Amino acid sequence: MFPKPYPRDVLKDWTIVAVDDDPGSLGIVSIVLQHYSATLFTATNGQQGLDLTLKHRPDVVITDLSMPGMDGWTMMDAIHAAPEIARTPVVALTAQAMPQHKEQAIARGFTRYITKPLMPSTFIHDLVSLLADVPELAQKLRL
Amino acid sequence: MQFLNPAIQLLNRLRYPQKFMLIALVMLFPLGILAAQSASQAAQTIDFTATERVGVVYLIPVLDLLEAIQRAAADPAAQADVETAIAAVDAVDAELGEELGVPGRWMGIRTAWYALVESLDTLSVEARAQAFLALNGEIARLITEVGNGSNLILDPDIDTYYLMDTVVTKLPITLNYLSQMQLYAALAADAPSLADLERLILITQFIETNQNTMLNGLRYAFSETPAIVSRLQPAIQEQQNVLQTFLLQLEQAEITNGRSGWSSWLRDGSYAPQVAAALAQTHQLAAQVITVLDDLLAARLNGLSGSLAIVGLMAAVAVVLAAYLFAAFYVSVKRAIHTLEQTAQRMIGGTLPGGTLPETLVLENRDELAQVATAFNDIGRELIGARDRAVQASRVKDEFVATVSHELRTPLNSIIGYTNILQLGMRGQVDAEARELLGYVGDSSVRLLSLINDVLDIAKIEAGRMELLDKPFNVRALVNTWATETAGLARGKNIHFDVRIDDALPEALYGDETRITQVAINLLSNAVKFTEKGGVELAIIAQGEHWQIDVTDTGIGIPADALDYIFDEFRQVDGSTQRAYGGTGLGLAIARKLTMMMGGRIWVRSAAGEGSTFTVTLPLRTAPAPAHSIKEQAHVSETLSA
Repeated sequence: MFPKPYPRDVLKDWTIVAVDDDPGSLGIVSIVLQHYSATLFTATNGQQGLDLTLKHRPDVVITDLSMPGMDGWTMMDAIHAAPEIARTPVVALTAQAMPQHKEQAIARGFTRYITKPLMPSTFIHDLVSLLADVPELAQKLRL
Repeated sequence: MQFLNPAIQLLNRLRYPQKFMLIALVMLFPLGILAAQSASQAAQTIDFTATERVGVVYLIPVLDLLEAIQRAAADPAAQADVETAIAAVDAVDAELGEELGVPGRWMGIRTAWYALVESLDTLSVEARAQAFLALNGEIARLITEVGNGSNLILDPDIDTYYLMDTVVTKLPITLNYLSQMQLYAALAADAPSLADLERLILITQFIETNQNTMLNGLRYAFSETPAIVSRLQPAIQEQQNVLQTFLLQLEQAEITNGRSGWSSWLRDGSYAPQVAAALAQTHQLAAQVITVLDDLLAARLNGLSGSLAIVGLMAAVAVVLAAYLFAAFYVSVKRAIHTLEQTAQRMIGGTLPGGTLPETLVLENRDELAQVATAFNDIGRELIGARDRAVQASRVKDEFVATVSHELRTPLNSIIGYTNILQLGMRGQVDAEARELLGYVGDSSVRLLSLINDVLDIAKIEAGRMELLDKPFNVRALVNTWATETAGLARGKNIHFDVRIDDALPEALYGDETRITQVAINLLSNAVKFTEKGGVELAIIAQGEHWQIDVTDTGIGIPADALDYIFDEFRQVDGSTQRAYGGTGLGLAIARKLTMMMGGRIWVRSAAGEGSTFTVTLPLRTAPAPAHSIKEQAHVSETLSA
């Protein structure tokens, strides 16, 4: 079931912003990304996430969709509207499992749509394969 | 209303034009018979009257002949006129004699005349008179027979009957008596005996009586048809005057001088011009009467033909009008039903609620169909209301399902995620016992997740919210992803796994590869789960208009009684199966529902202890362009997180 293990430093050259209002979920993402040596900034709502993205220019943003205050949709729109960070891939990580939500999200501009519950072993695999698809990002992977 | 039932049953089986035809036939049949009867009666009357006219045509030259013969009796110079008149009668006899049945009588008269002419010089004066009288009598009989043969004697109308009676009976009698008077007077003129005088007196009385009867009849005719009075009155008056002149003279002479008055009337020869004048006037009257009779018969014929034509025309107009109205009725009904159908289609296809107004049926009809329209609109409003409520309820249910799904996943996310983190040793190594315990937590939470996913799938399918994609996909690439996953499971149980793909299968097909995969993986993981020895075989086969997925295992099999319910929700073979093998009992139910939604069939052949073969057939629709092969990574992410 589990994909092949990645080296601990596969994400060493990566800066990632993770946004989720559920501390349990944010904890899992943090542990996994830090386990693979990513530089991580976390936020609990969209506004914080947008600020962190503008400040740290991450390689990828991973965000929950429904959050109090600014939600994931609005934040993604704001990132794509800001020229200096417009090309940042934004990955949705959500417990909304209905297929129409996924289609909506991809149509609106999310790079990938991952549904909870999150299996750490497959999550890292998904993330690495996503990054491997973007040439200027792939070269930073330490496989 | 019971008595209407047989007719209702009959009419309900017929289409509208057939109903019209039936009702029209039932109505027109007796009317048609009546019309045909009256038409045939009219035609008979026309025939009858036409035959009467044939008689009139024959009588005209016969009357001329009588006139000529009566003149010839007194004046040999008139013989040439007789010849002319005979030629005229010959002509009509050749044409009409057979029809009237009189040629025999006519040939007799003809022969008698020529015999008379032959022997004229040899006969005594008296014999000549007798011969002329006999000829008169023969012609009178001919006239009677023409009357009989031509229906004239049976004439049904007052006016024409008395005119006929005048010309066929009364005037020939007067003429005959006048002729007798002429001849007897001539015989007795030199030395009238008492017997001669008495005979002449008798004849004058006969003439008077006959004339009076005739005038009475004509009065009836005149009161019936006053229009003919002016045409006949002068001729009647003239004849009466001439007759009265010498009859009165004779009566006067008798009163003043007794028999001697008569003798002087005979001896001075004044009788001859007077009787001749009376004969001429009487012939004149006969000619006049027969002309008027012919005109009346012709008018009767015209009237009959005209009324027959009017009846026919009215019938035709009625039939055309009825057909026109029936056609209009039929078109109106068709139109109303067409409108009804169209409105129904729009109602069915309409997008509601919000925006579009409920469709209503608008008909021009003010009849029973208008009631149908009202009822239809009532039903439509009810249905639209019901649909709005159902759509609303369905949306509420969707939102509820989405919320429940979201709320269940959030805590499950933490359980699965942190268990996995600990298992992977991301937060330091854990000892063997702890790892085993974490394994229970992990397995239970993954089972809980798959249960949630199955329940959500069932809910979506039942609510009709499961939407199928219809996109091209690469069959072999798809089957390879199933094989990769199943081979991993089979290796874990130390059983073999084989895959066979039919070469005839096209490269790319149309369909929803995610849902097909869900069905196939369910069957394959079940097969591995229930097989301890031997193995599992996956066969993909092209079958004409379908393609087939066969999953065969050498596992525990299914008892015969369980085959009936194996595809029902929450049913496994028995409770012990669930304890031994796990699972929700929803997998096959979902597989069957998805297969049916995709237009396919699913079934199983199995016996307890002998393994099972599950078969799914799906419509085979070849995609034109080679499909992109799906990415294995995406597939893994789907199975674990969908």
